[in-house]
Amino acid sequence: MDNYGKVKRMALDSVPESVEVRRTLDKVRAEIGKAFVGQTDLVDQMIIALMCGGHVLLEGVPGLGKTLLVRTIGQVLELSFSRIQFTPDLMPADIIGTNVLLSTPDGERSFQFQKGPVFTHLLLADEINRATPKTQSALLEAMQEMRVTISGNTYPLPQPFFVLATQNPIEMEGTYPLPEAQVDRFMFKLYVHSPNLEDLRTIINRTTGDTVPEAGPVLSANRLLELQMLVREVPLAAHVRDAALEMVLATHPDTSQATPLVRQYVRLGASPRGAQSIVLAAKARALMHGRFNVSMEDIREVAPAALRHRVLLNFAAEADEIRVENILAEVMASAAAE
Amino acid sequence: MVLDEVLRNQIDMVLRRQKASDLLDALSRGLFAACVTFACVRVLLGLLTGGQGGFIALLAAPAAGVTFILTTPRRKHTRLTAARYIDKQLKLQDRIATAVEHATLDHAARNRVEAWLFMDAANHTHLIDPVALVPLRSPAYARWSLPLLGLCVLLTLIPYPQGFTWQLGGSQLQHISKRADELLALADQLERIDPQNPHLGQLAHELRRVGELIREKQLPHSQANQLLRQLEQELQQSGDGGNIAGNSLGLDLARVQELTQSIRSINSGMYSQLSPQEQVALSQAQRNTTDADGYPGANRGTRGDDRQPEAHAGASGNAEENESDVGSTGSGSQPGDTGKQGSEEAGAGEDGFDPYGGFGLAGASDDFDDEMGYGAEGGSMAGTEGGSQGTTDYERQSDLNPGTERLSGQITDSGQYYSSPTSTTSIPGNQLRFPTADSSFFSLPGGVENAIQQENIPSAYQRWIRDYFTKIEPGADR
Repeated sequence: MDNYGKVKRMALDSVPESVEVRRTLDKVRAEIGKAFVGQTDLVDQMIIALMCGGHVLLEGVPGLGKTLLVRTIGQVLELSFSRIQFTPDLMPADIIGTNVLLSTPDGERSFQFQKGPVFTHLLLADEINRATPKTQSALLEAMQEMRVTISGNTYPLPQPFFVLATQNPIEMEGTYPLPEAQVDRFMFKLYVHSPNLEDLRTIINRTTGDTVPEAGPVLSANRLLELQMLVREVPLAAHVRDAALEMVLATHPDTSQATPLVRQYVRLGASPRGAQSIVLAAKARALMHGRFNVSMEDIREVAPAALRHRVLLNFAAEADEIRVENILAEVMASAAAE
Repeated sequence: MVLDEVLRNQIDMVLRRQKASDLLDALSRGLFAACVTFACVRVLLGLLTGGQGGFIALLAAPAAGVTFILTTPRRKHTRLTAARYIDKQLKLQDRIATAVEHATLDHAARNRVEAWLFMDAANHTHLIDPVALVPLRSPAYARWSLPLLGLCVLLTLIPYPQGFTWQLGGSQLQHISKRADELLALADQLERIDPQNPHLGQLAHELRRVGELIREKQLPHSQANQLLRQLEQELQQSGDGGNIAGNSLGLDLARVQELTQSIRSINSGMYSQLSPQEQVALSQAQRNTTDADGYPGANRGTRGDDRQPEAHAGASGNAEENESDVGSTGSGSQPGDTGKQGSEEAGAGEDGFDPYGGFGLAGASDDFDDEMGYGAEGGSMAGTEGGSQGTTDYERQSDLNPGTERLSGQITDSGQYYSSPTSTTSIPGNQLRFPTADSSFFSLPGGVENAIQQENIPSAYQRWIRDYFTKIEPGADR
């Protein structure tokens, strides 16, 4: 049954809520930009991940401002912030916490759970690949279930909860690549690139003066949760959804949608979590750009970040120096042609 | 909140124009396919048949066009596809399509963002201009349709070289070649009749031209067959004095008729030397002589309107009585020059030449089946079957002359005298006429050939026999 009728023609500016959403997001970007110079795409994708409640894996060489970005986001969003420097001797209890024996003045002794740094809104897992797989896996339940179980007791994490992990692509000796299950729990994998000359000039001017600009709080945790709910309400057309799903299937070498590079170099394609990530991120992007529907452009923009860590290459790809980006570029081109 | 009606109307207008555009595109494709098909079929068949096949091409063209239109997969247009088209053309980032799709969903409760989407889509209605979005233009290749149409017209008009179908049907080719030889022989004999007569020369020229065309294989065999058949028909009709109908072969029938009339006028000069009674007697004697010699088809060659006047002078004798019968024919008791004349012509009949034969090519009915069963067989030699028309005439003749009368007379030293009541029978409504001797003469070559073939004459002697008969010239006896 078609639902048509007279629509009161009014500018969307006259709808306070929609206007407020757009203004808030613009403010967030502007505040982050005060402390973190340039790389607007990276910032936008970080905001998108936050609006979706997704975790982000940042990859970049040291000194590019990964930690600064995460800390700034924490400041802007008025969220509690914790940082864990992952090292090989880091233990799971160092992350999630442990039961400690406490003695009361009355002489009684009891175990009391001492919360670890994971109990925060924004967790920066710095150089996450330097910890052992056992320690890395301590984050699995926290990232997926938003809770921690210790000694049979389950402790919910504060909402919203984000894990922003960084890893260094160089100095790979003594590192432990993240297990596939944990990598799949990251919504995005983002690359932090070196700033260009203009950005670098701005960075120098800002950080070497007598005053360092600080980002102020713009968005509360509750407001962020509301935004997360709003994102899920964004309508998605069937043909756009199908395009996203085709894109995910195209990363599987044994499907009819697979591209030639995928068939040759991909060992394992993206999981359904990848499709979820694409659609949700596309909705957030649409809202951030002042639209109330998901477009094909949204899908194409967020797909690489959502798929690049979910596509596993085979040995032939390494031998031929084929990167995931090459394969995803072909997949995107194939989807655009259709 | 629902989707705006104005927006829906704009989308529907785009949808209608898309369908119209597709229809136009399909028609253009069909026209293009029809033109290409016509051109290809026309050229192919034209080259194969030497210009034939125009009608087949004309039938194949619309069939191909319709088939092309029906088999070409067409896009399915819906309101949603129209909305997607609008989004794509106006770069609206799937706003309209998403709104249209969600407007058709029967949600229990619509969320906030959906309502904002409908409002947002309605605000973009003013951008939608159906005329500009879907221009009703024919596709690029349709520009070639007009030149193609011109080409098709041109292909129907241009002359085509000799078709390859000449290479098909060797037996037919032999028949046609044989006809060509006979036409040329006929032309030669026409000229020998009266070399000074321009009409005969013209007719001979026409015959020779046709014969050479056939011999040089410049005509498809089907057309040659038709040409020969009609030419024989015209000639036969001309020779018989019948109506000449049809002129579809480029032969000037009026001229043919005129020329054959000229031939008849030449013959009439010969017959005018005889009295009417002598002419009747001569004809009857010739017929009897021929029948008596065992050529049942000889008399049958006469046409229905060439019914012979019955001279009931008892000229029903057998072959042995030929000379005397003829001598007594007509006047009943006057032997003399006329009788001599009659016996000579009757003698020609004995030799196998039917003086009643009209124009015609011998054996035509054998070669072209029943289509060719004209009176030409009357001029053929023994064993040639007569046409059905001649048979009918023969029966009519029996009706006209139900019985024969015995002659009474006496033989004296001075000669034989017969007496008999002389009477003639006229056919009501028909003009009594004689077959022309010269017209019968034209069937001579065919008759000779038939005789040669049917008598199993050794090939070494065939030329001698053929030469003998071809040297016979009517003018020499005159």
